[in-house]
Amino acid sequence: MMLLGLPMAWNTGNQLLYLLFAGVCAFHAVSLVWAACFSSRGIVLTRAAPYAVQRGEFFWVRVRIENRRRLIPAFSLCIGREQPSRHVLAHVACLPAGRAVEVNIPHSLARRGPHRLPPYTLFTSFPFGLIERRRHFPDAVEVLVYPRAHAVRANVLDRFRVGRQVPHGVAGDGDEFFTLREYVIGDDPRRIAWRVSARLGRWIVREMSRERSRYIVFVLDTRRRDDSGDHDENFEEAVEMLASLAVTLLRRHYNVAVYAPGFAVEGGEGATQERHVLDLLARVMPTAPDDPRWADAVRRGKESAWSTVILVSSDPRAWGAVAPGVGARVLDPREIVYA
Amino acid sequence: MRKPAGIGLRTASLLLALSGFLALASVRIYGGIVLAPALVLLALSPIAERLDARFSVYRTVTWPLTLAYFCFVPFTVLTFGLLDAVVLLVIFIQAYLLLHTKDVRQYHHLALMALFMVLAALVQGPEPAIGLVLVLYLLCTVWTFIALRLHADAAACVAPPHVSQSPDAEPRRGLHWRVGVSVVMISAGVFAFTAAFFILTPRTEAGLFGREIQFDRPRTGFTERVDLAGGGAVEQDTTAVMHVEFPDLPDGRYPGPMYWRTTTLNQYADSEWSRRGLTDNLESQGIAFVGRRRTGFPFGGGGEHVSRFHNQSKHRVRQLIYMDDVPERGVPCLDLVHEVTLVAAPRGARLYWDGSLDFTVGFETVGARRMTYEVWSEVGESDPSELRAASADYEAVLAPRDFQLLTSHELLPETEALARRVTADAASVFDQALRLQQWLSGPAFTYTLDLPLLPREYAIDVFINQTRRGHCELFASALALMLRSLGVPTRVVSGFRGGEYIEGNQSYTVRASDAHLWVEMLILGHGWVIFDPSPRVEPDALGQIERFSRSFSRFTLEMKMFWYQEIIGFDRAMQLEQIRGFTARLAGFVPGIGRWVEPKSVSRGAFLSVRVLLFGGFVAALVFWIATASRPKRPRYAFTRDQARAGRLYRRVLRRMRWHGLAATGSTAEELLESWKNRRGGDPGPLREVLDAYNAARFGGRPLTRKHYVALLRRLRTLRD
Repeated sequence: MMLLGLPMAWNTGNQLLYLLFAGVCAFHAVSLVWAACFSSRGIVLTRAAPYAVQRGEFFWVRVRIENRRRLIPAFSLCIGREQPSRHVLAHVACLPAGRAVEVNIPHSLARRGPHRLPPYTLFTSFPFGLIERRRHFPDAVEVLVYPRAHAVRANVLDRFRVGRQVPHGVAGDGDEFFTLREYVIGDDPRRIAWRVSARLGRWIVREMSRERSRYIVFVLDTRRRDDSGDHDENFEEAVEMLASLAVTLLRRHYNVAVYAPGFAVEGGEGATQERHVLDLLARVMPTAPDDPRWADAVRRGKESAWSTVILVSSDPRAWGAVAPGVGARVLDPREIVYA
Repeated sequence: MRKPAGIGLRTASLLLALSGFLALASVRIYGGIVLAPALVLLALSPIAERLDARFSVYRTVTWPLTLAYFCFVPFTVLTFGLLDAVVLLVIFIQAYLLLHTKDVRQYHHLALMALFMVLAALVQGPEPAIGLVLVLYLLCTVWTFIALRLHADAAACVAPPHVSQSPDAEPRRGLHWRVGVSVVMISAGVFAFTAAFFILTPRTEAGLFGREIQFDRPRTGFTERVDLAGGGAVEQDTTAVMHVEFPDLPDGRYPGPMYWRTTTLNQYADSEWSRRGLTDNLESQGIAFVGRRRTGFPFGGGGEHVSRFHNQSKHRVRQLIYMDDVPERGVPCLDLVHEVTLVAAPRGARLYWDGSLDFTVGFETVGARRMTYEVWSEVGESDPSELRAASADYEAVLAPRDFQLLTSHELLPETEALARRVTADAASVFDQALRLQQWLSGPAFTYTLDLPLLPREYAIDVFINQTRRGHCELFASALALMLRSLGVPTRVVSGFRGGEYIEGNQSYTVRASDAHLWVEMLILGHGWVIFDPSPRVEPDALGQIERFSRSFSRFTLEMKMFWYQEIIGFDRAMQLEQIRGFTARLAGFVPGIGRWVEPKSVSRGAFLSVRVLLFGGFVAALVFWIATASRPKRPRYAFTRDQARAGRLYRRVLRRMRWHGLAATGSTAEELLESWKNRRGGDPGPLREVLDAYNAARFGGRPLTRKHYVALLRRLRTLRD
């Protein structure tokens, strides 16, 4: 209409056609002015995400959209991504001046490791849809993706009786009472202390003492073995397996340490240790086949005389065997029973 | 569509469609009949949408009808012409859209069809009501597009996340009034920009690309007749028909009686006046020419200006008249018209002197019969003594046929005798006319609009001898026929009498109820002299409704005049004049400029340049402002408070490093630590602690409280070589 309207008006001299042409131009002019001055100015978008999530787990990214203008509300704000394709994730119809709205957008990350979330873009084509304004909000929000940790049965440790025993009683499958603790998945239901559970309102189990070591050291072999089939997939499985075991043991008040070439988490207990272990396992990556740090990791693993040392490897040929030069048995994934 | 359109979008789109139909209805050849299908469609639209959404068989029924219509399209082109066929097609598409469910694209199509309807109306000379329709159209378009944008963006949202409102945000019901306010504000912006673009868009001469105007539907003709038979009440129509200004008179007031002459009727037969040409009207009798010479009237031809020779003994008065619907019988002008000029009229309109040479001005146009015109009229009455002294030997001067026509009367002998009795003691034809005028205006006769029934034969005789009640037509006819029975050539003149003076704008408003018929009698040597036997009746005190009706009618006429003069008539000359006036006002504001800028002395080319510069400057400023305002800025990271604090800590570290002589610009924390250990050899403990805390807060999402931050700054100060 803009291209043809003016020549039509010039040719006919019809003032009404000039009026119609002026109206069409006015629409575009108002769109331009609104897009330049009011559409996304004063709009601030901030994001917050959890520090760490498990692989494949849905988590919420909280997006706060704030209108810092004093008078003019914002209309029809779309929040989304432009890469790899345009995707509108949320829409805010009206955001009054000086107000804020929070939007929770679900995400999931399939790959382990540190991730920087893709930046969000604010689209708006208010009022007429003729001109779209985009504003990018890159920020430094990172999310660490942990390997998945499943509950496992601890009887796999029976095959790893190596090392000195702890002189005092340790939890185990013995006859003497050791302590009361909260139930974790995988515990024997016969150990539930019903009266205590009824009183406290949650399940409590009786931990019996056993003359067995509760210090566990995991040594993860990250060296890449290109001739061992699909190494990356095996490595991921090994890491997940290690994470599951470590988390299960830590929740049973074991003392767990993890060593890998270039990484080390000294022995510890509780939720903090769990986080440190998962942090390590989130960042650990396959290394070169002749990584010199492997020997250091092995040495550190063998230093603790109180511990049960468990080797974890992604090489299927080594599973279940005693590693030469290490003197420790390699964990066989086939022996793991998930609860 | 994921979800149905809201009530706002539906209402706006229906009103938008209605505005398109209203635009077509404002075109005279279509008229209000276009609204009938429109109202039916709008009423059925919600029901049809529901049917379409629920029953798939609905489309099975409508699709064949659509295909059938498209087969019918060539027939409509042949029958109605291309333009009307296109209009019909657009209406059909609009009907299809209204009667089916719509997604975002169909709403855009609906708006496009409404635009086409408006465009079709604009090119066919619509009535002034199109102005109101355009206002409605713009408003509805703004509303529709805004609602459509909100709806489309909400529908494009892939997954409905959990949207929670923060405690200080208003609840969702606050959406509607804000959208309403934004519609109003944006509409105001659109109107303002529309006015600005309309005023500043450069005009050119029409036919820039070689197109010519065709006069294929002239509407002229003098077919008006006055039928005296019959009876019944005549309704007063107070519609304002003329707006008159006297620019040269003080306060715009005209001191004398105002007779707005349209045309004359000189043939009387069967109680009916009609118009017939004469051999010689003897109009030049009053115009400084004696005899039968036909000079004085350049009849035929015509154009935007017609004039005749001026009677030097008469004084001239100028009027500026706007008429919304010029009568076909002639252009009303103050008696006696000398010169008429078109000021604003449809393109191609022209004026001309009617061939009967009785001061009737004809108006030929295509389309609407409205115009603004300037009239110069000769006013002033002749000396009665001179009129009395005039000869009455008409048969010696007029051609026999003309004399026969102008004196035929069909009155009964009793009425003739009555006329002779009334004028028994009159010494001249002028006195005879005066006697009869006074007798008819006297108490024996009553002016009324409630007419008694008069027979076809001898209607005037019945009026004169029996009923003696009637309106101006009967009074004028009575005088004219009675004078004719005395052998005096007489005719009646139709037009308007008087007008309402409006203090506010110093103008006169003439209404349809001011239509009048009076008499002209030929006096040899002086031409046609006016006589008006109708008694002046003061209007009764007006009731509230009548007063409101008159005011509203006058307001409507003035709005039409504004529309026609300021919008339709906004051509290049007017645009130039406005810019000239603006420049003059500007010169008045800016001291010093007025001395050397005299607007009237600046050439036309300079003002053309000013106009082009203004328009171009306006567009360029707008584009430049938008471009600079929308330049992408450097991306800003949205830091949390702890990250911002960590950033400040890191800048302190860099400053400390520079103080110690280390080049620290662009270095990461690890590089800083390495360079400190290598060059300084000092204890990196405090530095490591500070940098670890920085990394943890800046990248690791760990907190950095203000207390911790202050403690780290103290640690940094302990850094030594």
